[in-house]
Amino acid sequence: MNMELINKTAEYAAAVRQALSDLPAEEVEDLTEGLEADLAESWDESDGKPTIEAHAYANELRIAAGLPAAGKPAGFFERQQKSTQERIAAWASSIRKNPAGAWLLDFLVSLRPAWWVLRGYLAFWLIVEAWVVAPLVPTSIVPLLILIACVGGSVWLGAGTQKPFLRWLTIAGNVLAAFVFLLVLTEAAQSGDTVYYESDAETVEGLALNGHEVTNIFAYDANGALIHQVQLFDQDGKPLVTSVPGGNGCLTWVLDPVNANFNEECDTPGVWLPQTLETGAPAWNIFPMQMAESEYEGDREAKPGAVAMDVKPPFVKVPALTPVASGDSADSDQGTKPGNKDEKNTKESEVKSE
Amino acid sequence: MDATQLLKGVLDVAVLAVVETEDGYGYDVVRRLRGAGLTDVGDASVYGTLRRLYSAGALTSYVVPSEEGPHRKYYGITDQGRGVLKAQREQWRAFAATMNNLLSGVAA
Repeated sequence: MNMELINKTAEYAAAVRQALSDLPAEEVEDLTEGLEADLAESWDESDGKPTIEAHAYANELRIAAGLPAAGKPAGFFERQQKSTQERIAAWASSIRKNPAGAWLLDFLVSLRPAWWVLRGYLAFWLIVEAWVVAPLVPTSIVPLLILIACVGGSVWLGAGTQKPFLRWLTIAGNVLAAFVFLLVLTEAAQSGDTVYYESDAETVEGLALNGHEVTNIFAYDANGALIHQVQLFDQDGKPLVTSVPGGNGCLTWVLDPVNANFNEECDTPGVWLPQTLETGAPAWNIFPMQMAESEYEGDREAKPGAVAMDVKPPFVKVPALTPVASGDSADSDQGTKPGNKDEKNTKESEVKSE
Repeated sequence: MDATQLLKGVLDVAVLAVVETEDGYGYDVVRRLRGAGLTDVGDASVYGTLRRLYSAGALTSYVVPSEEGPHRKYYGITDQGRGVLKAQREQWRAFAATMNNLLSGVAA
């Protein structure tokens, strides 16, 4: 067989297939299977040239095969719908070739009634959610009736045979239902807030209070005045460090003008700074920790020339202790009532810190 | 008279007759039809007819791999095809006889 000629026929064969492209792909394939070889043999006897145009050839093929002659080309939407249906069908049949794939498809098809019920519920949810501001209730029977109507309608749509426009409506509804389903899932996930905090607590390094990072500590003396430098250690003598030693923080906060309810925005970012011990070693357990202005981008770098600044304490002053408890004659008061109370306080705070 | 118009009505029976003698692939059938005297038969008409007869169950088809070049799709006649051919052959004979009589002026 003349391979060179076969290659020459390929272009013509492609044009023939193109002229038949309004037919289902399977039909075109059946009609033109081995076309190149036939053409090559034919052209071999006719000076290596086609005798008629590809379009006319296709039409002859079409008529002889008992198919309608090429009419006006299919409209855009018709072609889209047809090609989409063909692609889905081809995709499904390619999955079915695999036994596991076929099983999965059958399984999904068997799940359709469950989807119809779920879809109905989602429609109900959408209706109730949309009306929740103006409550549905005169009686609680109303939502129940809506639920029954939604689920019933959805199952009717799914199980019944539908007119074409209803089918399009159903497709649109399915997309909406899937979207609402995602919304419901998101809402359900958010209502499980405690889970989030628990997992946060595990990842917090350094000091945490009920799962929240402790970034700084403010100590007040017995008179309720702020102590400017205090070194803190835990029960084992380890330096008590906060959650973000050396990490970025915020030097000054401003109230978010848009969301003024407790949402603050960081106006000036800052970086925590350690104090230096007399040994020359940096200490991260001196509180309140100071901060220097930093860039947002520069992770742990203070701005050049930035100075260590005190961070605004939460309280200027806190209530002082009762005068008896603050007495410096604790030794002489040992065994007396106030002394006992002091001891009790210590115990309480120990329990708390655990 | 346009021979291609005449051909249209009898292409089915002509193709069936050719394939009944021996299985053949597309162009092979074309060549045999032409060899038998139907010189005006179009390639595509024959391929389309083969395809239609196959869809109707009158022909069977199988692919023969070729060592050089593309595979060949061969067509063979089925029992159903033989039945069709038998009926159409008789139909043709009756029709041809009628026409022969008519054209030679012997019509009753």
